[in-house]
Amino acid sequence: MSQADDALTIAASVRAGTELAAAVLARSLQRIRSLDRSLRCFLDLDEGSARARAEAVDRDPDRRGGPLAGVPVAWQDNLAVATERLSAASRVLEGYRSPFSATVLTRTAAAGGVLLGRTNMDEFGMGSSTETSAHGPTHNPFAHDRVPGGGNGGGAAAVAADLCPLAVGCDTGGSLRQPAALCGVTGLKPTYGRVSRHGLVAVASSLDCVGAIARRAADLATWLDAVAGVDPADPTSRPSPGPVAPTLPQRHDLRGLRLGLPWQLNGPGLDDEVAAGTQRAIDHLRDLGATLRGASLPSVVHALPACYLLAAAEAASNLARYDGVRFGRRREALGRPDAMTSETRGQGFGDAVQLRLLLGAFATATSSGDDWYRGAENAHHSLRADLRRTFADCDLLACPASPIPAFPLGSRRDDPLAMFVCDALTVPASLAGLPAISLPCGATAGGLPIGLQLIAPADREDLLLQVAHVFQQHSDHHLQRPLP
Amino acid sequence: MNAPTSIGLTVHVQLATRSKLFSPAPTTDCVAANSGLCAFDLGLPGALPRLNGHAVALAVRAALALGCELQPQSRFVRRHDSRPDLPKGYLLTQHGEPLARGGSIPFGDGHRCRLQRLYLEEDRGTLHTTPTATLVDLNRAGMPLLGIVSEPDLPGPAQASAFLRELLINLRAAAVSAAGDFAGGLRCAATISSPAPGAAADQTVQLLHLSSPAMLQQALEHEQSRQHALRAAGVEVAAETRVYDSIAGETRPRRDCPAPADPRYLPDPELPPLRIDDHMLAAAREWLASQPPRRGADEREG
Amino acid sequence: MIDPVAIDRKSLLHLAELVQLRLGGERENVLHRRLQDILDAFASLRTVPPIPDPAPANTLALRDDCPEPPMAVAAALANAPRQSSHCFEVPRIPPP
Repeated sequence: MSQADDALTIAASVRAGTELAAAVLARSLQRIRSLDRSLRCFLDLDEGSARARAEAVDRDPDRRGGPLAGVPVAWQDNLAVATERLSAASRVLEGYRSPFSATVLTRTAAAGGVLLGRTNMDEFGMGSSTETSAHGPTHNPFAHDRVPGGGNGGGAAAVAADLCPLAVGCDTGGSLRQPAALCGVTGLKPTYGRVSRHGLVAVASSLDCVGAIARRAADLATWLDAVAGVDPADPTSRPSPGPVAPTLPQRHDLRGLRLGLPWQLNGPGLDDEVAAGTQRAIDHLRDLGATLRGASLPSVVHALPACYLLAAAEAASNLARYDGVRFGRRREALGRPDAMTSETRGQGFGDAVQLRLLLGAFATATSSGDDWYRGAENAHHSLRADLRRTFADCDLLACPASPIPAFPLGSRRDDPLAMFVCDALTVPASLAGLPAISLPCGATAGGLPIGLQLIAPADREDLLLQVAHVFQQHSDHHLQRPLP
Repeated sequence: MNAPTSIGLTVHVQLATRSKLFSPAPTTDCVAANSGLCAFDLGLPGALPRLNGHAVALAVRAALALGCELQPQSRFVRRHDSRPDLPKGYLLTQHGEPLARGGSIPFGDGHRCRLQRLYLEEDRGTLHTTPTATLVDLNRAGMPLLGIVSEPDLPGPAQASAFLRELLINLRAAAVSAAGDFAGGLRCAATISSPAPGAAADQTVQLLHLSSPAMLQQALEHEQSRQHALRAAGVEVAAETRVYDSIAGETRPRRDCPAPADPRYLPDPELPPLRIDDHMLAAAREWLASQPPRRGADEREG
Repeated sequence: MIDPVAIDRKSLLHLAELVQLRLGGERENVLHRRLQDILDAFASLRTVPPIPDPAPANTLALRDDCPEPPMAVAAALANAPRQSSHCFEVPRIPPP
C-alpha cells in the first residue's frame, strides 16, 4: 500500500467512484498474503467472505457513499460477526460461531466499511503482549522478535504493517492504547458507554470500552461518529454529545489549551528513551500553543492493583458461562456436570485467564475478599475525585502510553507482575471511564515506536481528537513505517 | 417439651409479561424444548441484559398492594452457582438492595405476618433426567419472577398455609401474575425452626419446591413430626435443605444440585441502579385505586 | 502494617472450586505462586480509605414489553457440544 492508503483517503476515492471497494480490498489481501505469514495478525482469514462484503459495498449506493466507504476493517477476535468464528483467542470457544453481530461492527459496515477478518489478541484480552493467545503470538512489525503489545496486538500490528487502515477492538485497561504505542499507530479508547458493547465478549463489563486503531486521529474521529451513541441492546450505552469529525478543522493550533502533566505518570519507572521521546512531544505541543501545567494524581499508586482486582472480579463472573454445556469445546469427565465443567475450563483456559479467575474468586469470596474489594472500590473513587480536581484547571492530561517500548517475545510472559506494569499508565483512564488516545511520537535509537497518551474529561472526544489531529498535522511520527 | 416453631416463607410467582425479564424472548406459546430463547437466555458471548419495564411496573404494583415500602434505588446482583440450568453461571436477582422492603399481611384469625423484602428475579432452566443423561431445556431461563420473603413469624403449618393463601389472594387482586390460579407459576420454600431449649447450633431446615398452600401445609406437618421424633430420641436436628415427596409423604435431603459453596454476590456491572420514576409509581397507584374494594378487606377493617 | 495474606493449598482449591477450575500438576504450583505474588504486591489496597463518591448518574433504561421472535431451535442448539431430543445434554444428575 502507498502512504496515501489511510481510511479517509480510501473512503474519499470510493465515494468519488475512482476506485472500487473490491479493488481496495484486493490490495489489503495482497499485503496480508505476503506479510502475515510472519506477523500473524489475522486468525484464519476467509478471503471469499471478505470479497463478498466488498462487492456488496460496491453494489449499495448508500454504503458506497458512506463516511467509511470501502475501508477494509479488521475486528478483534472478541467482537461478534454473525456466522463467523468468535474465540476471544481461547480454546474454550473453539469452533464457536456467533448467531449475531456486534452493534459497533454493524454500524461500521453501514457506514461503508468492509469487514475484513478477525485479529489475534491475548486470551480474553488478559495480557499486554498477545502472547497468551491460544493461537500463538503476533509479531511486532518494527521488530519481529518483539511483542506488538496487547490485548489487541493483532489489530495494532495489522494497521502498522498496512495490512488494513482500521482495526476495531476493545480497551479494558489499555488493550488498544498500549499496542498502538508499541506498533507506532494511533489508538482510541472512547468514554465508557459511548460505543455499544453489544456483541463484545464481556470480560470486565464496567471497564470494557470498544474503540479502534488507525493511522491517524482524523480516521478515528470519522469512525467514532459512525458508531457512537445509544444502542437499545446495551443498557450502559449513552447518548453521544455530537459528531467529532466536523469539529477537527476548527482548530489549527493549540493556543488556549491547558495541558496537565501528572508527575506520577511522567517520571517514575519510565524507560529513558520513552521519557525523552514523550518530553519532546510535549514540548512540541507547547510550541503549538499549549500551556503546560504541573498536576498530581496521588491516588494513582492504587490504580493498577484496583483495576486488576475489579477486572478480575468481573471477569470471574463473566467467564462463568464457559461451562461446556451450550457452546464451545467440551472436555468430558466422569461424574456430574460440574466435573465436566471443571475439566472443560481447566483445559480450555490458559494460565493468564486461570490466574485472573482465581484472583476474581478471591476478591469476591465471602471468606476472603471483602476488604480487598472494598479497598479497590475506594481507590477507584479516589482516582475519580483526583481526576475531577485535576480537570478543573487542565483541559487534557498528557503522559506516555506505555512505560517501555516493545519488549522481546517471551521476556515477560511468565511474570504477571512485570506484565501488569505495561498497563500502569493506561489503567487510570480505564478506571475513571475517560476517553484517551495513544499517538505515535517518535522512536527509540533502535527504531521502536514511542506513544504519547492524551486523556480528556468524559465525553470530550472532540477536544481529544482535535488536539491529536493538530499534532499529527504538524508531525510525521504517525507516517513512519516499519522497514519492509 | 417443644420450643415454639417459627416458619418463614420465600414465595416466587411469575409476573404476567409477554416477554422475559431481561430478553425479548416470548413468555408464552413456546412449548417445544429450547424454542423460546434469545441470545441472552443462552448466555451467548456478547449478549447483554435489557430489563423489561412492564415487569418492573407489575412488581411496583405488587409492592404497593402488599403495603411494602418501595426503595428509592434497587440493584440487580449476580448470584453465582454452577448448574447446567443456569446459562450464565449466575442468577440475576435483587439481594442487598431489593425493590421494596417491609409491609405485613393480616390473615386468619387476627394473625399478621411481616414481609421482609420484595424483589425481581429471573427463573432458571429445566432439567430432565433420563436413565443415562440429563437434558437441559432453557425455555424457562429468564422468565420474570416476583420474589417475596416473609419474616419467620408463622407459628405452625396451618398458619403458614393460611398466610400463603392470603398472599396469593392479594397478588391475584393486584393482577400481577400470569395465571390467575398460579398454575405452574408458584414456587414456595419454607424455613422451619423449633430449636430445643439451650441448643447452640442453628437447626433451621429449609424445604424446597412447594407449589400450593395445601402442599406447603403437608410438607411442614411431615417435617414437624420428623423433628419431634428426632428430638424425642435425643437427636439434634441438623440445619439442611430438604425436599418434600408428596407420594411417599415424607421429607428427605435433596439429591440434585447442592446449594453453592459461596454465591459470591456481585452487583451486576451491566445493569446500572434501578430507580422507579414518579410516572410508574403514579400509574401503579391509579390502577390499584381503580379496583373495587375487596370484601375480605372490608370485613377486616370493619 | 498490613497482615500478609498467605494462600494455603486448601484455600487455593476452594477458590478453584468457586470458579470451576480443575487444577493439578505443575500448573497448580505455578498458579499458586503467581496468585500469592499478586496478593503480596496488591496488599496496600486493603488500606485505601473510603471517600464520598457521588452516586452514578446513570439509571437503568427500561425496555417495552414487546416479544421478539425467538431463535429457531436448531440455531439455539447449533453450538452445543452434545444434544439430544432438542435439549443440551450433560452428564446425569439425579432428580431432586
